Amino acid sequence: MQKDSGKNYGRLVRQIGLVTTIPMIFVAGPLVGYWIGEWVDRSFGSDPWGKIVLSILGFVASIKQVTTVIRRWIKEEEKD
Amino acid sequence: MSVEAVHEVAEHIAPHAEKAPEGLKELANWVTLISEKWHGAPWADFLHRWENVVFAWMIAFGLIGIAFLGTRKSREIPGPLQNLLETLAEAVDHFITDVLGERGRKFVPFIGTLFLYILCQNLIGVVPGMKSPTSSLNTTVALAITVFFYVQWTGLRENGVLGYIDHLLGSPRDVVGWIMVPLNFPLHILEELIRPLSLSLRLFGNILGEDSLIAAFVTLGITALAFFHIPVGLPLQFPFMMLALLTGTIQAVVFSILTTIYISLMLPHHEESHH
Repeated sequence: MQKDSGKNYGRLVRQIGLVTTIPMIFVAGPLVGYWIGEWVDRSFGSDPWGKIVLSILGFVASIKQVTTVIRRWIKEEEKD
Repeated sequence: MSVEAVHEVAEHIAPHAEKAPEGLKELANWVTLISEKWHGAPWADFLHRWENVVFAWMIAFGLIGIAFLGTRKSREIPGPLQNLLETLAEAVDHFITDVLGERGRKFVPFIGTLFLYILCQNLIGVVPGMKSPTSSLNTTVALAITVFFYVQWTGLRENGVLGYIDHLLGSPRDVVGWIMVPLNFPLHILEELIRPLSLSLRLFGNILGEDSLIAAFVTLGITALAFFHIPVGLPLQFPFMMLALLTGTIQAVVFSILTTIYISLMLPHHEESHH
């Protein structure tokens, strides 16, 4: 029983951690896209299209990553 | 006594609550005390400038020392320290092989070290006179970059160069897959670059937040008793220190979980599905 409560506590800690990760991924995605876009715009004189396109791509990438992490996590939970 | 006078007394009693460059309060540690005592001495300024590195190295050497002492004379019936280390190693091994399977055992040293190192870095901020190196973005970025390169290297080692490129292209196997390559490739690159940023920002933000909260409540506790002109304060920071113990542990666990997940996503797909 003590082992069960320890396992549940561990699971809770991991769940809290992963849930708090999601907003940070959503921030990081467009940010990375913007920075790369800025570099593209400076290098190829495409201002502001590089920033716009890559920020959107960054956002899409962050959605993709969040779904990957959640899917992966659900798989682990089902195994438990 | 006016509010300004109370503030003046509190600042005098608690000079330890100094201003961080970002404008957030942080508690003084032994390095800042030394740099105040020997103000202007080049070695003291050097220590102060590199205080995060000093604490990070302190923890690293502390962990190395404990590991050395615990494993120096391994016995079949372990002593207390060997027992503690074996329990820790077993827990980390179980946690990683649970996600990655038996072949994940080779990643245990890296992820286990990362976990213990980050855990100690997070929790040391609760000890008076110490500072969490992870409350500095430089430390967390360094950790995240280490993970980034380790994951890429694992991808190259496990998949080979062609397999790694195939992975970045989204593993196209049919016409639709190849049509999607121009979209999948930049998305995949961006995904890889997002990981170190999100890992480092989350750890840094959480630990800096905790430490700033504790510093703010230490100052408040001292200000509350400033009328008595005594060098003690109300322990208002105590509940937040308990919270810091919890969040510090959570952040170390999450950093390790995400590293494990990133490695598992880099492994060849048949291994993933096998487990």
